[in-house]
Order: sequence, then structure tokens, then C-alpha cells
Amino acid sequence: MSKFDSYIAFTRFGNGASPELAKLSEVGTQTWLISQLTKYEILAPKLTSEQALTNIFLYRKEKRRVDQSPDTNEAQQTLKETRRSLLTRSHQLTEQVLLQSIHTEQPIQARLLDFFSNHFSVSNSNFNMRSIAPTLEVEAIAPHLDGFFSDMLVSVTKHPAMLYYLNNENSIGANSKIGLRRKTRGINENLGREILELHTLGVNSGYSQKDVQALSKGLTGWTIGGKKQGEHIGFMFRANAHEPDEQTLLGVRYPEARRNSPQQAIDMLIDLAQNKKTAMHLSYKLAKHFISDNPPQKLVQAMSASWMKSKGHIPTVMKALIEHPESWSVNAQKFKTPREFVISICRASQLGNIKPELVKTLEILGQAPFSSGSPAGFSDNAKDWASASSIMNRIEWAEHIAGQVKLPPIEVAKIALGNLLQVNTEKQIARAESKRQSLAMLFMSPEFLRR
Amino acid sequence: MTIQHKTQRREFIQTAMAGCVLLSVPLSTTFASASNTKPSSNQPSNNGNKKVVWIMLRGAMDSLHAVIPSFDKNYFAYRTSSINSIKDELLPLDDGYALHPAFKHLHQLYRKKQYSAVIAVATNYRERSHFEAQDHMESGLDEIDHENGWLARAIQHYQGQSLAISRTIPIALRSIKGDTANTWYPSSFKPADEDLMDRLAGLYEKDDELSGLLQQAVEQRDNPNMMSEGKNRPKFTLLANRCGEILSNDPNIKCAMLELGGWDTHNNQAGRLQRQFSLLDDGIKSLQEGLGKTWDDTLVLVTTEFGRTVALNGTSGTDHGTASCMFMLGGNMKQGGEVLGKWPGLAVDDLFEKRDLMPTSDVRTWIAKGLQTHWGLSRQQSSAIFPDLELS
Repeated sequence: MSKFDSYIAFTRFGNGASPELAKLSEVGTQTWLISQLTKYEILAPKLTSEQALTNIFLYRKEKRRVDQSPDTNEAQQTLKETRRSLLTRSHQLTEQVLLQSIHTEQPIQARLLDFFSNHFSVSNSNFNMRSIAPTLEVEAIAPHLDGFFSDMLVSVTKHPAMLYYLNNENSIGANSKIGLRRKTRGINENLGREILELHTLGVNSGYSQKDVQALSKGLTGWTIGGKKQGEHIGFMFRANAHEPDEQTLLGVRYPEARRNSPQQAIDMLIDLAQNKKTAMHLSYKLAKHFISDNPPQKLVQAMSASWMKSKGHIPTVMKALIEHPESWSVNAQKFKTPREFVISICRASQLGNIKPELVKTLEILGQAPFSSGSPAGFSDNAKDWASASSIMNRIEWAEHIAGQVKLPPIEVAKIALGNLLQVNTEKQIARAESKRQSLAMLFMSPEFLRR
Repeated sequence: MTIQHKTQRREFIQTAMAGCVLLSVPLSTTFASASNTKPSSNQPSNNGNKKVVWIMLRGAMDSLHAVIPSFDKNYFAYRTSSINSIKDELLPLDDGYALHPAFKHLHQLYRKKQYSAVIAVATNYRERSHFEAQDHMESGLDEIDHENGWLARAIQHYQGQSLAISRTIPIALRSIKGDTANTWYPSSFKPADEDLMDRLAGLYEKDDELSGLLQQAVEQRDNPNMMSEGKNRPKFTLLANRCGEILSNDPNIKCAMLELGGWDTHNNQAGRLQRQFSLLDDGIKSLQEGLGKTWDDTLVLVTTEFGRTVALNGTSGTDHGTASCMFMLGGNMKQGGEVLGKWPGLAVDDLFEKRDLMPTSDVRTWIAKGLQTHWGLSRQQSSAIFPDLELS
């Protein structure tokens, strides 16, 4: 073990150190990291998908009524209010998750939540998505961080935010009851394709257009209930819309499911989650995220082997990552994303309520949550975040936020970087003309920008 | 040459209407050339201050809803429900093609011979992943190279600098030769203190990556043409307008890349595309306003990563397809005001894998020829930009 290990553990596997964590380094870094791989909960979320859907349906219904009759200003005003209050709550939930990652005692789980939320990226591209997008990670991803990837995959695929985002809610099998009655309706292969390409096997891993169609057909009928009275609000399997056939995916036959059961596609998803190619794809992405843009082959193989052996048990795979010697190179190879940059500054400086608030700050720095605009999520390549205008943005923001920090710069530096702090940086921040300038320099120092 | 091309094109459109496909290649006379003298192949050429703007439409634009082949009976069989509401407002082009009614400005440009559409184009990529296809489009190579973009290769042959309207450097502007592109994007905070900038330079002394970035960031900040506007979530029209102003005020910047997303219309596409087309149309107008007189020296290329399915899917949208269209615009096009490319037909057997519009020419060939004429590049230089193409 090198003397740098504890700070590598803080920065590479977490969101930087904080005063409490500096004490914890006593127990041994790997033990400390592994001990965090337990349940990570977002307590008392400010908004649930059920609440979001209830309000979306209410809003749509009211809007139709108001649009049809040129109603009083009052009705228009109420409608605006409904919309505004729903968007405010969804915004508060996003802020809540970010705040928790600043204060958590399980920083590695906060990072994993961010990783998988980006892996299963949804964007706030319209009113529905802006309302519901932040509930996906809270309800479908966080509860499975200490469990199996297959459970996470099924939960995510069933979640209304994903069904909306990748347009599965109206995907109808051509030979289903509804399909036969209404010839203009049909299948939408967007979700099926992205599951294979992005969420599981990975692009160019040997699946075909037929596989895309088989999975998409299996997913017909996976929709969102609650528009009609009496329906459960949330995921609903609509048997009338389900393609009533056996499907063959990657050469495996999946029999027609029993009535009113989404089991056919669930079986497909479980097999996909435990496929060797998924193991490779996800291990590579995880190693790339935590360690290096070009992760060592040996590391990826070790993780992938533990994925196969544990059937995609996430803590087991993470343990393989943590225990691998290649994960502990002193050389920091990743350039922090704006999100990691902001959270690690707040954490080290013990800032919670910053101005502008966290979501707004990330928007300015180019990484507002749920705004990647692509189901592939934000880039995880250092190069994509290290550009001239993004550096200037960070300098300007660092100088701005430095004005809100109460702790002395050298204290923040010791907390944040420990013995990773370079002699030159320490000297230069001590010589700065003001506390504010000193902190801005610390935040922009090479060892703070990389992890 | 020009006349022959025109004849060829008319012939193929007629034959295409009869369900046949002819061979045709884009010709180098599409754009006005500043000079007739061919530069020697190894020297960078510089015929003055000619600008190129590339607008990348991310998400795969449905060309069949943009440039409508109103002569093709099959089209209406596939698209009745999405075309009905705009059928009577289509903006006519030549040879039976028409523009979606949202493209009001483009249609005016077409009449002034400052805009041409090219139909049924694609790269050589035949899978249907957005992200791979975009990387392909940006690198311009048969085998994707994430550090080697076509616009970066192109600018090496026409001395000058490049600009990305973005916070980060897109693949298209990454160069293996190590030249870095300028990036510009509106900022939100007050400019950093001068002394802090100097001190950071000191702090980065031993860090090549960071000192390079810092130096570039300072140069950009001090460039009066790149002063930011203080908007947080800029609209495409604003970005396009600033892009035009920077290009027109800064003689060193010769090319720029703009991006516009939102084209992945898997559901209810009629309304969504109406908004997207208007945004693009307004954006091009703003770009032109920003360019001012420089518009006469500018070539604008608009492309997307692939097309969409010919048939509508079950949710009134379209899924990932193959061929799409591209747009070429400029204040000084000899052959503006045309619909170029070959129409492959829409009968089931004419489609790619019986579902997508069949590509009939490589989008890169049109880009190459456009650059060749506009920047006065030699054929060898074009081949160096797109080494996988057989260029005439």
C-alpha cells in the first residue's frame, strides 16, 4: 500500500474527501471502500413517479378542457400553477440527489448511482420528461446498487420515465388484439434497440436487426397505466397490445407469456443482463469511468469474470475493481466531469446551499442532470471535458464559488488532497493575494482537476 | 460540363420516376470557384477568405419529411397520415420535389439559387446506431478514428483556424497533427481576475495539457470577436448568429461547426419536425445575418448521421434508417437552386433491406467536391481529407 492510497480512494472512487472521511482512512482504504457497497437510499424523495404521473395526467386533462372552452383567466392561471409546481418538485428532487452525494458517507455509491443513471440516460426533453426524469435513478437504480444488474435492468425498463423516453408506451404488436383492430398502430423499436446497443450487449456485439425486433415485440404492451380511472398509476402490462408469439432472441426461444404477464420480456432482459458480452461491456465502462479512458485489459477481464461468476452482482464486480492492483496507479488519469468537479469542491469546502444552486451551476458548466440529450448519456472521455471554453468556465465559476467558502484555503487543500497536494501548489496557494484567489487556484490545480 | 450534368440529372429523375436507378456522381462545378488556378497538391492553398460552416443534425433527420418527392406515388402510400395536413402548403422545388412548409427561408434561398438539396445520401456506414454513425460522419473515415476529424483534416489544406460552437471539441475538429480547434460558447460569470489567470499559468508550468488549454482559453477570451453574451441556455439561432459574426469578423477563422439535436423522431413526428425544421430554417437565417457580406464567401453544409424508415412506425414516428438528404447553401453558388443526387425509388425492392431509403451517393463525396470548388483544393488534397473515397 502506498501512502497515497487513502486519497486515491477518496478522489478516484468517491467525490473527494471531506473532514469526516479523513478520519475514516484509519481502517484501511480497501476495507473502507468495500464496506460502503451496501444499500444507498434517497430518503423521503421530494417527488415520486406516481406523483409525477398523477400530476401529468391531471394537467393534460385540465389543459384539454381549458383549450376547448376559452375559459376564464383564472383557469389558465391554475393550469400554469399545476405545471410550475410539478416542475419545481422535479427540480427539487434533482437537487436533493446532488446534495446527498455531497454529504453522503457512502461516496462510492453516490458515484455508482451517477454512473448507472448516465448509463440508463433519460433527458428532460419535454414536459413529461422534465417532470418524471429525475425519479428514474431514485426508484429504479438506487435500490439495486447493492444487488443484481438484472434487477436494475428490469426495473429501469419498466419505469415510466424510460417507457416515455424511448417511446415504448404506445408500442403495439401487429398481431395483438389492438394491433389487429387498428392497422395504423404498431411496434416502435426504439427501446428494444437501445437496450441491446447501450444498456446491455453494446454496439457491434453481434446482434442483428431481427434481435432488435424480437426484443421490441417482447416489450409490446409494456406501458404506463393511470390515465383511466381505476388503473394502477405506473408500469402496466397491457395484454391486448402484446404481440402474441414466441420470440427468438440471440438464438434463444422465449415462449409466449401467459396472459397478463410481461414475463417473456423479463426473461429476455434477465438473460441479456447475464450475457458475457454485457459483462464485458459494463466492466469496460465501469473501469473506464473509475480508472482510465483506456482501462487496463487485465482489470476489465477480472471484473468481467466476476460478473459472470456472480451473475452480475454489482458489489461483487465493484469488489473486483477495488481489489485490483491496476486500480491504484498514483498517476491520475481522469479529468473530472463538471459534476465531479462541483461536488468535490462542495464536499471539501463543506458547502451545501450554494448560489446559483447545484442544478443551475451544472447547467452553466455544461452538464445539467438529464440534459445529455442522448440515450447514450454524457461522454466519459476526459478529452470531451477538457477544452478551452470549459476551462474558462471552470475558472470563472471557481473564482465565484471561492467567495462562498468559509474554511481557510490550506485546510480545504489538506482535506481535499491530503498527501496528493503537490509542493508547488501548496506554495503557490499560500502566496495568493487573497483567500478567494487562493481557493480558486486550489480548485483549478492539476491535482484537483484530475482524479 | 455544367450543362451535361443538368441533362444527366433530369434524365435520371425521369428514369427514377419510372422506377429505375442510374449512376451519377456529384460534379465539381456545383459551386462558384474563386480561382481557376489549381494549387500544387502539397502546398496548403489559400484563395483568400472563404468560409465553410458545417451544421451537424444529431439524431437522424427524416429527409422524407423535409424534401418531399411529390412525384412518387409510393410516397403517399407510406406517409399519408403525416403528409396530409401540410399537403397543400408544400413549397415547390424543381422536378417534382417540394420542401416542407416550415422551410420558408430556405425556399427563398432556393429561388435566389443560393440553396440546393441533395437527396438519398449516406456515409458507408450501414448499421443503425446514432452514436457510431455520428462518429463516422465526424471522422469521415470508413473506420472511425475519434481523434481524427474530417474538418480538422480539411483546414490543414486551407491555412487558417477552425471553430466549434460548443463547450468541448467535437470529433470532426480533432486533429492527429495536434492543432487544436477554437471553441466558443456563451459564459455566465464575470470574467476571471487577470492576476488569477497569470498565477494559474504559473501553476500549470509543468503540465502541458493544462497550460495549453489555459493559453487557448485566454486567447479566446481576448479575441473581441468571441466576447460572450451572458446567456445560460442559448438558442440555436443565437449560436448560429454568433458563429456568423465570429467568422465574418475574424479573418483567421476559416471554418466552423454548429450542431443541432432533436431529430430522433420515433413518435408523433409531424409536430416535432415542424418545430425542428423552423428552428433550422431560422438558424440558417440568423447565421446568414451574422455573416453579413461574408455570406457571399461562405459555403454551408448541412448533414445528418443517417435517415429514417420509409414507413411510419406504430407511434406516428419513424425508426432508424439509412439514406437521408443534405443541404448546401451559400451566397455565391453557380448551381444553387437544384435538387441534386439520384432518386432511388420507394417500391419495396428499391429500399435498403426493404425498409429504408437506398443511398445513391456518398455524402462525403458532395462535401469533398464542395470543398474542392469553394476552397480551390486539388483532387489530391480532397483525397487526403477523405482517403476512403474514389474522387474524380
